[in-house]
Amino acid sequence: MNLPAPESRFRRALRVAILLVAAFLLQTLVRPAPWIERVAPDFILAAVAGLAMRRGASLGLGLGLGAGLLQDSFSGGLLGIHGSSKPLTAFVIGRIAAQARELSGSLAFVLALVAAGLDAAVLLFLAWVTGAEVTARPLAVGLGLPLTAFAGWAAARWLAPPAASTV
Amino acid sequence: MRRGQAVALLVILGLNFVSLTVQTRANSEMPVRQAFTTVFGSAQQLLTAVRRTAGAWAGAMRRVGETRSEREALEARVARIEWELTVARGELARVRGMTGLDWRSLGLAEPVTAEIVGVSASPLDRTVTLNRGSSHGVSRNAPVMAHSGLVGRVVHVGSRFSQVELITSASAGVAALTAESRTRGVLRGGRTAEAGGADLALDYVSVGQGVEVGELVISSGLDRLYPKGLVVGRVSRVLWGTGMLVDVGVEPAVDFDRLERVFVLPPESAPSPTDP
Repeated sequence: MNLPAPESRFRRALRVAILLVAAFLLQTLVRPAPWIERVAPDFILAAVAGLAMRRGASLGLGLGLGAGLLQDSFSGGLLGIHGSSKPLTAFVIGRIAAQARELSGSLAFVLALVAAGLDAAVLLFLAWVTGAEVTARPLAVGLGLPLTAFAGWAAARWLAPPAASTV
Repeated sequence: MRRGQAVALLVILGLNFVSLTVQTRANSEMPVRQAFTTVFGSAQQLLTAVRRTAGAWAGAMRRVGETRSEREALEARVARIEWELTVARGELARVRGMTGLDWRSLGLAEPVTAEIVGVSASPLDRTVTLNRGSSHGVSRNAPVMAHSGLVGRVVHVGSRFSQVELITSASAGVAALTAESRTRGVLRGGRTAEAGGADLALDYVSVGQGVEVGELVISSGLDRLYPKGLVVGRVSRVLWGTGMLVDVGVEPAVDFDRLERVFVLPPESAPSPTDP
């Protein structure tokens, strides 16, 4: 009989903390090569999407709000743009993932891609509503979606429970 | 459970909507935003210091063998620059004597030197965080320069940190002037499609004004944000536009991907009186 190996609450929380810190470091500190900047991956969204897939909509909602507001604070834009898009995306992805019997790698990638598209749509909508100019170029956003999805897949994999053990 | 999640989501979205409404209607800097800028500027400075230290150590380990020859080359370079500085000082003294020009009137007298400690966390914006704030004399809308040209303007100020909107941002605009044909326009970022792939576009330029590729583009001072005469970039493309207008692409003078140190000038209050 295959049972997932037990993992303590501390280790589960530690994995989440490491994921979020890594996402913020990648997003705010790594000064990427120009071609990477122009395709604009969103590592924070990837982390939030991975969290929602693996740990559910509730945690995704809460951490999505916190991460979104942090992202707003680290950028020069309005407080509440990412603070709205991240929890909404986490909520939707968490709900969809909860319907799946098993979260396979391909499903995780597709969900992360959906998250990236939904987040971009919400951001563009909020920019339109608030009258904010959007700097990101359409091509950059288009190419950034699969990169963000790949990062989301990696985040979901990082948060996956340990390999099953045979009893 | 599900109903609770949906209610929580609605509450979050509602609060964010209120926050966005307040911010878009308020024209001045919000205290909460100043506090955020200070707190997260500190965090970014700390993390950037760690990254730079780690990078410096790794680089030093790799380049131990090259250090001596580099040092000799640098010493020769410093000697040459010192000589050029001496010559330039002499020229400056001569020009001052001839024209009586007061450099302080150009607003370039005492810039605040600042380091970039972080970049925007959002793919939608082009901003950077500086390790200088209101306590160092930085104020909102202050122009920011690098040694090679105009960088942008300060949009948020905390006590020890500030955030700068780059001129390549879509929401940025610079009243500009071409140095040779004296053609006026407004430089906008994020307009690559019209500008044929360039980072900046010079808008409102009509056909027949004689703008040519390679021309220097400087600030005109008419926007009351940037003093006149700051180098912004060079014309990289001139394409047929719509109607009587041409699409002018401008490559920034500053390499924003390698920018580390900048100068914050005093904010402009009036257009330059020396406008031709």
